This record gives sequence, C-alpha cells and structure tokens, in this order.
Amino acid sequence: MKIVVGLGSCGIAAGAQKVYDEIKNQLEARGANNQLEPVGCVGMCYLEPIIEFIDEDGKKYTYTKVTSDKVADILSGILDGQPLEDNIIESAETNKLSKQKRIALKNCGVINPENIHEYMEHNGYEAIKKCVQEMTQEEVIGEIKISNIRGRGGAGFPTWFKWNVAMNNKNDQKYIVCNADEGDPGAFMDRSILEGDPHAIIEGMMIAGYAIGAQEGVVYVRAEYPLAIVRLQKAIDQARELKLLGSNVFDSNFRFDLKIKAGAGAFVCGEETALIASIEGERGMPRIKPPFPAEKGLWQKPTNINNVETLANIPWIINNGGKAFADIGMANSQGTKVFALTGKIKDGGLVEVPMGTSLREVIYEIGGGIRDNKECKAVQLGGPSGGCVPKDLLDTLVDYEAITKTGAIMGSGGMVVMDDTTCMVDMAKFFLDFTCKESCGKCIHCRLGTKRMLEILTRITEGDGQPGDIELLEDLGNGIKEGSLCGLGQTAPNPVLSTIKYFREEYEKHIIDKTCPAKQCKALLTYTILQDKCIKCGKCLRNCSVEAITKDDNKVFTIHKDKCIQCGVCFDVCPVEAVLVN
Amino acid sequence: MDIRININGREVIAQDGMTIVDAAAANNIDIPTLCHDDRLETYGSCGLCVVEVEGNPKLLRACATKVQSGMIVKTKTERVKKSRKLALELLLSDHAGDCRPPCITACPGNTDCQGYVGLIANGKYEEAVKLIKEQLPLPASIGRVCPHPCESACRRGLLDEPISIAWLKRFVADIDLKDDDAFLPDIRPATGKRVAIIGGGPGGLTAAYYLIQEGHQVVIYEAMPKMGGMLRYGIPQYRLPKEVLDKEIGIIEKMGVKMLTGIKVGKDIEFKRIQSDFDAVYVSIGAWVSSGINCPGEDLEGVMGGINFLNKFVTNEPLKTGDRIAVVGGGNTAMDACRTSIRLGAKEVTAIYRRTREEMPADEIEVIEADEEGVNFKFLVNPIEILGEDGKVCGVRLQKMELGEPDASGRRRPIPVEGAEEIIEVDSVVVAIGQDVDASGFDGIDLTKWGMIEVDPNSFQTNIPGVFAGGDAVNSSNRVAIQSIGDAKKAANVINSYLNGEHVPYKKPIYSEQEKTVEDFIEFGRNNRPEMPHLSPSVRKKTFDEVVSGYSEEAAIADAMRCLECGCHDVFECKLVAYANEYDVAPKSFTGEIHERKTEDKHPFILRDVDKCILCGLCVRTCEDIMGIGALGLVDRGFDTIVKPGLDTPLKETGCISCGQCVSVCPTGALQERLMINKPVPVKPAETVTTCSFCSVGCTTNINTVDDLLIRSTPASTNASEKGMLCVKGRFGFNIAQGPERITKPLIRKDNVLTEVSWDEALLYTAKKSQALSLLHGSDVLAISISDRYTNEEIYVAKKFGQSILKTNNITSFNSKAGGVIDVLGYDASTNTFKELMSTETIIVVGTDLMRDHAIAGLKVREAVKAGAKLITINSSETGLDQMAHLKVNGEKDINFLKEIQKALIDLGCQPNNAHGFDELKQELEAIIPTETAKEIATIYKNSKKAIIVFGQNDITEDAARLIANISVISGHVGKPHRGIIQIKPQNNSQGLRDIGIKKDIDTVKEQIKNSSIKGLLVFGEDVSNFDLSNLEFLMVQDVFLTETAQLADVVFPAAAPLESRGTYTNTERRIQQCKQVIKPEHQIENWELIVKLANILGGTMKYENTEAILSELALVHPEYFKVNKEANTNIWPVTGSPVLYEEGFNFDDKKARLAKVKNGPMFTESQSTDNLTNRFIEKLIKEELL
Repeated sequence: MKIVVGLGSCGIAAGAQKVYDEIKNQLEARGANNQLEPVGCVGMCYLEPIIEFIDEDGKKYTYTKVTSDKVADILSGILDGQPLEDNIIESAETNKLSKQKRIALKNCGVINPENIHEYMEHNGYEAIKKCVQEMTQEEVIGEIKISNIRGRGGAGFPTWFKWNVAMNNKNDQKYIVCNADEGDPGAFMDRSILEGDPHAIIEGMMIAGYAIGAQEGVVYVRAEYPLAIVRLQKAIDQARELKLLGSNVFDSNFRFDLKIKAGAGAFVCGEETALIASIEGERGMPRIKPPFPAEKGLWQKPTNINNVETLANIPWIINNGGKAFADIGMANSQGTKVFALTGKIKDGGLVEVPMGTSLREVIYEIGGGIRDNKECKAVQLGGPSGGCVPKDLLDTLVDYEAITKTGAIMGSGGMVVMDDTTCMVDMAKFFLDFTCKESCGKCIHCRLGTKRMLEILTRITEGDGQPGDIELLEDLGNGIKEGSLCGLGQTAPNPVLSTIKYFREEYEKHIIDKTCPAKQCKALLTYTILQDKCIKCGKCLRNCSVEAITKDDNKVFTIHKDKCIQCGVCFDVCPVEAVLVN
Repeated sequence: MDIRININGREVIAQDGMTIVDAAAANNIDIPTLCHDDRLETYGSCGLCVVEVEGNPKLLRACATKVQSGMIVKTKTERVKKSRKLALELLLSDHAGDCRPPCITACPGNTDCQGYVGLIANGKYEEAVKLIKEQLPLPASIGRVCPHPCESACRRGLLDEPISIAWLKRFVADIDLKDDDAFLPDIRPATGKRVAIIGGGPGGLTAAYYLIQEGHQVVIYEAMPKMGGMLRYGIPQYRLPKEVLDKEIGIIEKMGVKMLTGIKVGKDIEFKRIQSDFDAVYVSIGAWVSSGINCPGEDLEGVMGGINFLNKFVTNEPLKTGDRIAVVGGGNTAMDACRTSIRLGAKEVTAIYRRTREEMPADEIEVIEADEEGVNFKFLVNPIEILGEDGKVCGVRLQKMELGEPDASGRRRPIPVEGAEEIIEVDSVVVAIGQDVDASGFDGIDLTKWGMIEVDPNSFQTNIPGVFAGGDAVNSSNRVAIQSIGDAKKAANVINSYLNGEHVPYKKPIYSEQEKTVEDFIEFGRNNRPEMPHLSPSVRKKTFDEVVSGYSEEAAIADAMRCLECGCHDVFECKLVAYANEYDVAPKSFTGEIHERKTEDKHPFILRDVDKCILCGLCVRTCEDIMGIGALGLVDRGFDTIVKPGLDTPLKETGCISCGQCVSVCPTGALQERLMINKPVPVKPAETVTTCSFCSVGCTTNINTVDDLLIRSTPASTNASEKGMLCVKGRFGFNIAQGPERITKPLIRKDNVLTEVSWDEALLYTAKKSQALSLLHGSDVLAISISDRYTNEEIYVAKKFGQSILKTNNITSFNSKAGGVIDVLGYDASTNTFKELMSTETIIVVGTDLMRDHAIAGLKVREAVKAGAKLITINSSETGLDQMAHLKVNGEKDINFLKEIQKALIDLGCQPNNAHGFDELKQELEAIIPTETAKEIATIYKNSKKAIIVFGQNDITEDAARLIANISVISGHVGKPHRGIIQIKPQNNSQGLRDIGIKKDIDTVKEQIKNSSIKGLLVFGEDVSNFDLSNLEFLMVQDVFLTETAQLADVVFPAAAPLESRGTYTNTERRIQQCKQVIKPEHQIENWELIVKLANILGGTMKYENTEAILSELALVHPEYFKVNKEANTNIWPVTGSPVLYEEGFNFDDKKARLAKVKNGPMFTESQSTDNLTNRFIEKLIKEELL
C-alpha cells in the first residue's frame, strides 16, 4: 500500500503538511512500513488536503479535505481493510478528471517530485534519450512541427518555428530559457507543474537544448515560488548526480546543464526581452524587437525562450509522437491546455482540457458551475492582458483563434469566472491597476496611458464619470495598444476594451445614472433600511462607525445619506436582510 | 550595399542594415524622436518615430526597423500623427513646469520679459533692447504707458512686489535712445512688394517696423498732423514725453518707412486707390470717437469726449473748461483727463464713476497719483442729466448706485438706488466712458454690428483680400497699446507670408504651464522692488514734466536680479515643446496626477528637475554606455518611474565625473547646465565652435554667448572621433577666466605697489628695463618663458621676438619637459592618433590617470577595451582605468621595471634591425632578471600584432620616456598604423610649443636664474609659484589674473584668455586645430599684438595683418606645418605626409633609431602645471568636492 499526500503550495496552504506529518507519525507508531510519498497538486485545489491510498492492485482510495485529527481513523480503516466512507472522493469528482486530458499535468499529484526515480519509472528521461540516441536536431524539430504545439505562455506562437530559427543561427553559444515568471493574478499552472513534476521541465529543456544546439539553460522562476525553486533545484541536483545533466548525456556528444534564476517579482519580467535583461542583472525592462531573442538574446547570443507548460508537453510529444498530440484538439490548436479556474466557480483548481472543449463545459462540467448556483456573467481569460467573454459566448471553444475573436486571449491559462455580483468596470479597473503598477515605465503610452485610463476608470467608479469617458477610454486604449513597445502595454487595455465591448451599458449606468448594477462600487451605493423587514435589533446602529444611523422615538432606524460612507457594515451585520443596497 | 526604398512617395537610396530613421535622415526626411541617439543602442521608448510600412498592419518604430529593398514607408499618415500626438499629450499631462514664464504669456505682445529682465540683470543692455525689439519697436514709450499685464502675472508678486518689468524696459530703451546709433535691425534685400499701413499709431508703426525688415516697401498714411496715434494724442506729456515718442518713431523712419501725415483715407485719398497701389494693406485706425453719455444735456456747450479733450490739448486747440470739471468714467483716459485738468489749473476736478474704486479699470498707480494730485472721486454715482444754463453746462444730476451681482466681466454690476439723486455744480463735463471706431471712408470693408472692422482673429484678414486690420479698430476690449502692437506684430508675419504667397495664419504657441503658489518661492526671500523716484504731487500738479524719472543702473540691476526665473531655461532647445507645437497637441487633453518631486541636488554644474523628465533614458544610457560611469539609473516602476542616482545619493557623491553629457542629451529641461552668469536667463545664444584650451586632447567645443557673456560650452561633434564629448574642464571650466579679479589694465611696481598705468607707459618701461639689462650684461641675461596654453601664432611671435629683437636664446616654457622620446625616435611627438586605439590589440597606459586628467582620451581607451583591446596599466597608484585593465601594476615605482620589460622582450627574441645601440643595450641589461609581471607584459606586448603605449609626458621621467621609446623600437611596435606611442602632453598646445622650437631646457634656465646669469625674465601666461624668482632684476608677467608670479613682477600686462584669442593649437596627436576668438578681451589687445608692440618699441619692424599671416610665416619656417589648411581641424603634421610617424624610418639622417641607455632612478615624476587657469579650475573642483 502506497500513500501519497498532495504537497503542492495549495495543499500545504490547506494544511497538508500537518496531515503528512501525522500520517508519518502514525505509521511509525504502528511500525508500518508503508510507502509514504509527497506529490504535487492533482488539480482539485478546492478539495485539499488530499490523500491517496493505492494498494498493490492499483486500487485507489482518495480522501479529500482531510484534517490531521481524521488521519488516525482513515489510516486505521485502510490498513484494517475497512476503508472509511467519510471524506472519500465522490465519483462525480473522478468524472471531472475523466473529462480532462492530462499531458502537461500527467505526473502532477501522481509522482513524488523530489524523487527522480519515480519520474523515471513514468517514462522519465526516455524522450531525451530517444532524441540524443536516435534523432537528429532536424528530426526533433520535425516532430514538434508535426505536433504543431503553440506557445502556452499566451501568445500561441508555433514552438517549432522558434526552435528552427534558433537552430539555424550558427553561433557556438546558445541558450534555452524556461519562462517560469508566472505573474497573472489568479494563475498558478506553472507553479503546479514546477512543484509537481520538475523533471518534466528539465527534460523539456534538454530536448529543446538538443534541438537548437544549446548547452546551457536557465529557468527564470519568480522568487514568490519558493517551493517550486526548492523542488526544481533538487531535481537538477538529482539529474546531475545521475549524469543526465552534464557532458555526454546518454553517452552521446550532447552536453547540457541548467541553472535557476530567481526573479524579483516584476510582472513585466515575463516579457521575454525584459526577462533576459533581468537574468543579465539589468533592470527588468523590455527592449525593442527586432532583434528577436532567437537572433540576439541572453548575453547577445541566440536564445530560445519557452514557457513551463510548453516545455512540460515536449517529452510527451517525443515519446508519443507529434501526430498523437496533433490528433487532440482543433485544426490549428492542438493538444491540451491547462487552466487555473478561479473566481465565482464552485470547484476551483487546475484543469487540463483538450483543445476544442467549450468554455461552458470547462465551467459547468469540470468546474461544477457557479457558486451559489448563480448565473455566469462572464469569464475573464488571460489575466491583465486578456479580456472577458460574456455568458452569451460561453460556447466558444478553447482554441487560439476562436478566443481571440471574442476580444479575449487564450493567455497562459488564467480563467476567472464572474457572476452578477462582479462589476465589470471595477473588474477592468482591477486589472488595469495591476498593469499600471507593473508597467516598467519605459514607454510613454504604457506608463502614462494606463495611468490616465486608470484615473478615468476610478472616477467612473466613484461617481465622477463624465459623458465622453467611454469614448476617451476607447481612444486611449487603442492608442496604447498601438504605441506600446512590449506585450504588456500592447495588451494592457484589453480588459477595459473588452468589457466596454460587451458591457457598455454597465459603464453608462455608472457614468450617467451614477449607479453600479453589481453593487460593488461603494461610492455609488445607497443604503436604506426596509422598515417592513427591520426587526429593530439595533445591530446596524451599533456597528456604524460614522453614526450615520439613528433611531427615533418610534424605534424607526434610518440611514442618513449625508453621513454614510458606504462601508456596507450595516448590510453585512443585518440578520434579516433589512438593509437595501441600491 | 545600396538599396532603394520609398518614403512618402519619394524613391530614396539607403544602405543595407540602416534603420528607417537613419535612411530617412540620410535623405533629409525628418522623423521625430525623443529617445534615439545614434551613438547608443536602439531604445524605442518614446514611440514618436512610428511609421507605417506597406504590408505591415502595425505601426513600426522607425528607430528599430531595418530598411528592406522595395520597402514603402509613410511617415506622416493620419494614423501616425495620431499616435505621436497621443504620446506627446500623455507626456505633457505629467510635465510639471512652465516653458515660458507668466509674464510672457500674459503680455498681449508676447515680449520676452524674462529674457530682457535677465539680460539687464547681467548688464547686457544692448542685447536686452535687441530682444525687446524682436516683439516691440517702441519700448521707451510702452515702458512708460503700458498697464503691464506682465507685472500683474509676475509671480514675484506672490512674495512681495512684481518685478518692475515696464520700468526696466524703459530703462534699457532710454539708454538705447541716448546713444546716437540706437539699435537698428537688419533689413532683408528688397522684395519689390509694397505695403500700405493706414494709421500711424502704435499698431501701424509696429506693422511697419516688422514689414520693412522683411524687405518690403512700407508707407504709413496718418490722418493726424503727426505720427504716434493715441500715444501722442491720447496720453499726456507727463506720462509720455513726446520727445521720447519722436525718437522712437524717428528710428522707424530711419529704417526707410515712408510716413505721410495729415492724410485721411476716404477724404484725402480713396481707399480703393490704396488697395490698387499696394500689394497689401494693414488698417490700424484705432478708435477715436468718444462714446456718448446718452442722457439729456449731452449737447450742451462744455460737454466733451475724454479723448477729444486730451487731443485738443495736444494740438493746442482752445479749451474753455472753466474751474470746475467733472470727468465721467473710471479708465485710464478718465484719469488722464482728470490729471490734465489739474495741470491746466482747474480748481475742482471730480471723477465720477458708477462703481467703486475696486472696480476701476484704470491702472492702480494712475488712480493713486490722481488722488495725490487732488482729484475728487465720487463713486457709485451715474450722470442721468447734464444741467445747463444759457446752453452751457452748469451741473450734473447724479443717480446714486449700489453694487449687485457680478456681470460677465466679473465686476459687480451697479444698480440704481431708487430715488437717491444728487446734483453737483460744474462748468464742464468730460465724458471718458469709451471710444468707438470711425470706419467711414473704408468703402467695401465689412464691419461688426458695433461698427468695428471685422477680421479673422488669427489671420487678421478682412473681407477684402489683401486687406488686413488689427488694433483698437478690431478689438472691443483690451484697448491698450501693447494689444495693438501684439496684433500688428502677428499681422505683419501673416502679411509677410501673404506677400510670399503662403498666407499662414498666426498660431498661438503651445506651452506647458503650471500653477504655483507662494510656497514654491519662499526660499527666494522677500525683497521689494527698488524705490522709483517720482515728482512730488505738489510739484507735478503744476507741470507737465514726466512724473516717473526712471531707474538708475544700480536700481535696475537690483530689480532685475529679483526675477524668479519661472520660464524654463531650455525652452529654445526643448524637443518636447517643439514637437508639441509641430503636432498641434492639446496639453490639457488628459488631466490627472502630476508629479511634483522637486529635486534638491546641489551639484555645482548640473541642475536636475525630474518633474520635467520624460524618461527617454538618454541620460542614463549615455552615462552608462558612452561615459562608462553609470551615475544615473531608472528607479521604481510605472507612473512613478524616476531617473536618479542610486540609493538617492546626491549626484556629486556618485561616480559622476561632471562631464555634462547627460545635460547635452536631455531633450527637455530635466537636466540643465547651471548657468554661471549673474542671472541665469533663457536666451537664444550665438554659437562659436572652437577647440578646448585645457588639456592636450583637443576636443571641439561649442561656446554659446550673448554678446560677450559666456553662457555655456557644449560638446560639438564636428570631429568624428570625438563623438561630441567634453570632460568637466571643457564643459564647465570654459569661463574660468571670467570674473571681477581679471586684470584689464597694465600695472607697474611703484613704491613696491603694483599700480595701474597706461599701456604706453608699461610697454616703454618693459622695453627700457630689458634694453638696460642687455646693454649692461649682454643679451643672454634676458629670458622669455611662454605658456603652452598660448596659440602657435602667439608662441611663434614670442620666439621671434626673443631671438631677433631681444637676441637671446633663453626662450623656454616652465611647463615643458625635454621629452625623452625625441632622443630615441627623433621627434618629441606622439607617433599615432587616438582613433587608432580602436583598432589596437593591446594598450599599455603608463603614468597617467587618464580618466581624471584627460578624460576624453581615457574614454577612447575605454572604448577600445570594450571593443576587445587588452589594457595594461602601470602607475604609481590606482587610476580610473585600472578596473578595466587586464593587468595593472601599481607598486613598481623604479625605472628598473621598464628595463625588466625591455629585457624580457629581448629574452623573447626581439631584435630591431633599424636601430643603433642594441648590442650595448643588451649588454647593459644582462644582469637584469625580469619579474613574472614584467615577463607577462612583455609577452602580451610582443605577441600583439598591434600595440600602442600611452603615457603622460609630465607624469613620468624623461628616462622612463626613453625606455618606452626603446621598448617600442625593440619590439617593432612603432612606425606603422595601430602601433606606436601616444604621449599625452599636459596642455592644449604643449605639442605646438615644442614644434615651434621652444626647447631650451627648463632646468638649465632655472639654474641660470639661480646663479643670476639670467637677470631679466619676460613671462607670458605662466605661473611658476613653486620656483624662486627673487634673484631676477626684472620680471614682466602677462596673465589673465594677478597670479602669484604676477604679484612678484615689476610689470604686469593683462592677457587675453583662450576664448579671447585666435589662431591654432596643436594637440597631442599633432592635429593642428583652430582656436577661434569667441569674445573680445576687455582690454582689446590680443596676446600676439602685445608681443608685436613690445618688439616694435625695441626697434623691431614686426607687422602682421592677423593671425593667419603669422601662421603662413610659421608654416614656412617649420616644414611639418607647411601647407597647413587654416580652415580645417583635420591637419595632422607633417601636413603633407602620413599621420603615422616614422613609416619611412626614424627622424635621423640614417633613419635609424638611437636606443637609449639610462641610469637607475624613479619612473614617475610629479609636476605642477604653470597654467593658472587650469589650476584655478582644479581648485574650484576641489572646493566643490568634485575631485
């Protein structure tokens, strides 16, 4: 019997480390010699901590939301052959997994990421072995071309093409860089892969390195991912120890090694030229392209930069053939895509779906639908660079072109689900606030344009919007897209422009009627007490910090608008929903 | 490779690899950019250079896009312009600063108030008048009468009192008028076009003044008997004496404007006739009809219009007013009428105004003075009937008023108080409540419903083509002279463009403006304007003499110094404001947060104002990539990104070398030079490109001046190898010779005190003293020393003076050493040029801290190292280049180290075939065992195909220099391109000094002075403070300041400083470069002229027309200079040969080198410069803690 505990950041945050330690103690106390392994995140973050028991026949018992005080009972049940029914995973959940197709995440939650042998038992390092022993550089790139995998970092540029340019550049020194500077708010695909299956990244980079002729790699990980860094470093050390990294890989002439560079947390460092500058120790600031990194990249040498998820797919493609990959999905978007499902969704977490799955399926069939069974209002894809897809377009398929057509982008996989309590202006403001702060400050359109857009959005949400503001936002947004130097600026207005496109009337309500339909923009809200519902408990009065609520002789409670600061405490504390927000 | 591309429809040739920006520039197509500099890597931040390229859906940055054959580029499409405009508007939305000060923007005539106030503060009166007259031809008159909106806007008023801008204008204009040749502007060649101006008032005169400058023929038709319009007929003598006006009109007449007076259009000449006779007409007829009072009794005898009243007085028409006069109205005309009445002797003058004193439109001072002179003011009353007796005025019935709500003008509206009336008894009533236009006679011209001439406000065009109008005749409000003048100046430009067939309307310039409060200026301290002398009320009541007497020079300067300098000093160079105007942006398109971060940085030369920064990064990149310093960086992110030194240290505490390169590249005023003149002032300076006079690198500098005021020195990139760079000395030391301590008169020691004397006396005294010594002891007791700061021409003349007049061989320079290299190679000169460093594999720098003392040479080494050269430094202590060095040697101080290298080279098999003395040398070195370091250096040097040794001539011993020459000969690294020796000489013309043959060994001369075999010394520009000259019987010194040496002298002559001299300098590469006279020395006599004068007093017959003539003679005597081109800076001697020395063998008869054997001793020496100016600047740097 093997016991695995999900110890990704999500699991640890939910208390999995305590559970793990408890199991370990219990096993020791019992003198049991069961194999206990930490694994990465299986994707069902909303169910963490998760423990799996796998018996010799491969039969699996999955317990979710386990707390350390339950460990003894669960363990006793399993070890005594009478598994407890409580907390065991429901079949519906397993169904959710069955709707998915796991390639990039195939080992996450399955193998112990800190044990290279487990990776190797799952075909690990077979692909690179095959490459160096059986394939030429051209053949490797040919296979990638057949798979037609496109960059999973968001832009969707054909991976083989980048590799080919880098390969054709005759320079004795080339670099392969893994972009693990996952910065979109709400996105954690790359982190999970790094934590759950670091060797896949190493192997992917080795294959890329072999293909383009690079002997050195750098993984640029944001410093906010300490666990990922630790596990990746451990994986690199183990690979070196087994001589998988270094000279003469699998007795070939191929030599490869890599190191980790921890980024200091600037969003713009996910932009490839800024990332290069950051690795070189310069201020993380994009530079103009051309020259592209494939011509002049890190230390002025040809450099190929791929995102974590892209690289995680590579060993699978080599092992299974490009065609097998290309057979999954759509005509021009093949394979699978990992999404980090967040927002007003019931079952948030990581999912990996074949291209061509509809957004509706992802949200309702895998994500379990909207929390509190509300109606979906829109989905925000691609984070601050992306846009929103309104509920009417939920049948849009996961496909680069189809999503782009809606005004959103595939992006790196952030998927934020929104219901009617989400104010679209406020949401756009949130993302713009993010990009505005994260702008490197280099180019005018981005540095000043996003700031001015944010100021306009702010005044709209504060009730000071003026007629013409929407048009001004559109003009400014389009101007920023056109005038900015790098992807950050070129996409920063997207959340605003796409919400204006689909929710223009919501903007107008803010500007003209001075109301917020989603009741989120505090400055636009008025609170009144519904006298017929009021039970005169006085909680609202006692909790009001500015004495805006009074009680008259007849015990009638009144909220005075001139004093009210729209903090919403009265609404929150009212036990009978007698406070009306408008 | 040439390729063809198409830009804006034009087929142009570009080279493969060029960017679109470069290709466009090569074909004179301008693409705007704020962040591009071709010396730096492409940055692409500003996005102004975007263009459309056919086939590409995106806008492309032209600075980063390479041209491709057949490319079709469009640089000015609407889409492109829109993107640029947005970028500029965004920049201006966070650009805190005033391009121009409020005084200028408030002036309807746009006179450059800050400019002329600043020039006055610097004592530059002529320049101030010139500047004023660029906008306004009548400053003496306007300075007296203008209601000066400039002063109302002046921010000094927030602190205490505004600058007396109008009085200052009058101050300089009066000085100009006193002068017989008052300023006259240049007049362009005649165009043959004719312009008629109708109306000879301020507007007409102004239009005439500017149109005649354009070369057009100008005729003014004036209806009144004399020119001047309202200035003559509407403004009383006590405010504007007619003599002043006459003089100013006289200047315009002198320029050629034809003035026809007493001709009324429509009566004496048909308007049609004028139209057909002239190519353009400007109608500036003013508003001469007093508005009626519109009440019963208006027609009574004794009621007259204000303007008619004043006018009659000027034209001496009889006026019967009686003793009691009521003047109705609250404007300046009303006050003028009141005050004129007082002066006429009226017993009782009552000013009647329907509002209160607060609302009076008249100038405050007019009201105060009227009050002082005894005018009665009746406020809040309005005449409703003029009462008469026998058809004559006897009183006025007044309606009492009170103030209600403010009207459109913002003043509170007067409303009648029901039933409250009052009658006053008067003998006459002057109605000064406004004026109307009399446009009769101008047939066919469209009028407004108010009877004014209708014009387009920006083109001044009437409905009749070619007929323009301005001034009071078209303006219903702001009827002041300066408005008419402003209209006329603008209209003159439009008319000129119309006559040139373009017809460009006036466009108001776009500027960045900022609100300020008193807190922003608190640090200036409070200080009222100087008191202006006025006639006392009791005196002026009885006279029409001018009330205001005008500022004294002292008061004027004191007042001008109070200016707060609101306007940006870089407004004339600012690319942002230029583009903002070109793209017609709306600076207030975006409102929102504006940074106000106020940089406090006490750098003595560099002024930082981050709130004007547009983050183009040029300063940061230039400092890092060109200068290799990295003193500035980009800090923080997003909107708050800021350029500043790391860790917020003050700039001067960073590695900043004060080269000012950041200032030069800054496209806005975010980085400025601190102007080192009394009052910094934004001006358009004159520019003179000349050669820097500090060290021997010989950089080109562009000296900005206004008259003889040195404004700034900027790098000039005329010399390709310099790439437009200067070090701190050239950039900020350029004016070190200016200052109150300058000697401007000769001095003779009398009773042991240096006393000012005439030139003749000093010259005669010097001649006699020298003659006497020579007669008594022989001519060799005389000696001359001359500074290597002096030009070749000056040095040549001095040498000739010494040799042929004084007949002495003792001609030397305390700053010059015999060299050493000359003994081995034949010339005391560098063998190769700086440029060759770039193509050299190995550079050995010996005995000089290049980055400190010759920074631009240091940068060349740095650049070469960056390009791959290996650097070895050998110095007595750490130097700035050490950190780039492949190998640095700091401990070796004995010459033996060089011998070791020599030995190691021989051990490695080096053997010259073109030298004498190799065997002897080999023998001498036998016992020497080279250290590992010496061996390593020798190996690197020998194995490099190309290697250059650079050394500081005054920093190493002569023996060390000999050994360096030996080393180069032994290894064969001399006599070929990219191989040789560059000896960095101390001063700008140290090389020329040696070339001209000033080579008497200085140590010998010193010995002769000590033992009194030299008794008389004539020193030209040297300060030898560390050597005892007391044995001398006679010492003459010529210098800029009273140096320590000069203080010991018997005679002192003032010297022309480098920027006051002309001729040539020979730099350390042997490049013969021009030194231009930028300003004249105050004492007028150039240095060579003094020497010629001395020579001729002593019986010589020296005569040179100019310095070119001296150079011609010099070039004949010194064969290396033969055929020198006097215009170019490109000559390297031997002018007719290769710039690389010794390609045909060494400079000895048999072409063979003479390898030197030297004794043991030190490798380095320390020497004190004898150039007082260099030393002074170094002292300043030390004082400012920059060194």
